[in-house]
Amino acid sequence: MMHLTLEFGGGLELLCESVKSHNVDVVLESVGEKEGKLVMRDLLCWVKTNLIKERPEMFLKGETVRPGVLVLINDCDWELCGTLDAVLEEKDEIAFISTLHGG
Amino acid sequence: MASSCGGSGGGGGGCGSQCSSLRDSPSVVGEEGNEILEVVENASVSNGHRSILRCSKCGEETAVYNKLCLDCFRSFLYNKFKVSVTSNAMISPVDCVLVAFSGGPASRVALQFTHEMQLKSQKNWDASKDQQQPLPVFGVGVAFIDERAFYSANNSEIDEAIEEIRLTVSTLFPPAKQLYVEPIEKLFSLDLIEGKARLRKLLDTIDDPTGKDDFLHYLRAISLQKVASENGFNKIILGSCTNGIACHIISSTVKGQGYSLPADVQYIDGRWDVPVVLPLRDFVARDLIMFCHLDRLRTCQIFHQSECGINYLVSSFLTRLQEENPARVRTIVRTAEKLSPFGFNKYKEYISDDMVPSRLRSKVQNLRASESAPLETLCPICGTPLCDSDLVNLKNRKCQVECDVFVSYCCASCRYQIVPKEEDSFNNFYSLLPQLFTRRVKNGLHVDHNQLREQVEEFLLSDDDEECGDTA
Repeated sequence: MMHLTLEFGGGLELLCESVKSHNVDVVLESVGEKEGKLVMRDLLCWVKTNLIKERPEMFLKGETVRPGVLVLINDCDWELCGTLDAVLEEKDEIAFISTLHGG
Repeated sequence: MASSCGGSGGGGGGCGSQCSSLRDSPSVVGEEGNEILEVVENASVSNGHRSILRCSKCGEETAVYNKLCLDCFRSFLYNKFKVSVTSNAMISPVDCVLVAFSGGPASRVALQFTHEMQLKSQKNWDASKDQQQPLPVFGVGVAFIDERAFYSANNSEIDEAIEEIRLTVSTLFPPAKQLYVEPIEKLFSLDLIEGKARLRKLLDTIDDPTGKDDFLHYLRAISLQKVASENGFNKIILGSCTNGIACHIISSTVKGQGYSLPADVQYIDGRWDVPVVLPLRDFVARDLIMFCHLDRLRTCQIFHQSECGINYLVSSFLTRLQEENPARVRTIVRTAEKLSPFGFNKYKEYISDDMVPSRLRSKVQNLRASESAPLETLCPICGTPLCDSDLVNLKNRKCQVECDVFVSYCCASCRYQIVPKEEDSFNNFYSLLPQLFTRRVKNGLHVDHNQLREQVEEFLLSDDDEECGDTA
């Protein structure tokens, strides 16, 4: 069981019933743990099943996030942490931000 | 470390796909190969869980985005902003600039960095006023155009968002900045209820959804002009970034506004009473959004673009293009840059040489010395310079009724998608149109009346002919 804080911004929160911040407990067995670790690939699957209530295609494309969605793990671009293979730890904060609106 | 994609060092947006391909190909040799090795060496040994990459610039802090730590990313963006402002002489020490703030990430960054420039200027003033003649500090105000009368929107959400904006502006001191919340219906009447009614009636006369959308854009621009003029500001800063400008380029092309397109994509737009500057023109939305998140700059999207019409279609199209290649919006803007700008897109301010940064003085002096460009005739609704066929239409007009004269000054695009064709609708439209639009014709917008009269002399009715009719 891993406690994580997930944040949705830039309009993505509309897919999660307009809730921006979610404190979640992810049960490792339910996401096919590999060597006892939770990776982003598994978390995305979990999010799609448990948090995304509408229009999943705005969030996911295949097994990764839709292009234009920024992903941050503890305020660090996930591209610098291994993207889908980034290993998650207890109390990590993961943010998903859509860049659709430039403002 | 030099950027492997040849773009701005280490951080600029729009190099995503190329950079990641270099990271993924360790067999790349030569300079690029050295860069890859450098990245691996800089990465500190993993702590057994997640590997950490060090900032490619300072080498000390953890890299958070585009291989830069937050401080270096912030410096990169701020310096880019400063270069944009200074090399285009956007803000002079005697200016009072009004920052247009929508609540979104781009205008939030424009506001933040304008404030930081002002703060530095204030510190210089404080530090040097006893010693030498210091440069004065430019003034900054903030404007939010409240467009709720245009939409059927949730009032309490908008009010909350405005309170947040107030709070944000109040944190940006010293120096303290005045926030102007201007309801868009104020263009129509000081009485907001009457103003809203007039606005909605006017919108009802415009059938075309794209025309309505564009008209809102022009109302917003005129509102900003009004706030600036009424409150002593002599420059307006818009947060328009590469993504928005790319959308505008494609939309304008689609709408047949190709002639006037260069006017809207430059750093400086001097055709208005209060010139408008675009310091974020070369910033991509991705970088701005990421920076706002990392630096905890609160943003909100208060008003959402209408989902019908050409503008939304183009916006969705560009989103798709970006998915394939994030560099696309920059390519679009760079392509449009090749079009020749208009005379009013150049720096033309007449201030004393002392106020101009020394490296720009010769540039300014050359501009003043060179022949001034011929004045353009501008459409009174959208401000677009009229192309040759529009000018022919204008010259050939035979009417003298005020409302018809107005239409003859309008560009083809506004005549097609905004000005109603049916007579009753048109009369309603013209009678409801705010004076700020209609007087632009009466004031002979950038047109020499005597010259125009000579040109159209043969078409004018002489005094002893029957008059066309009285003015509206």
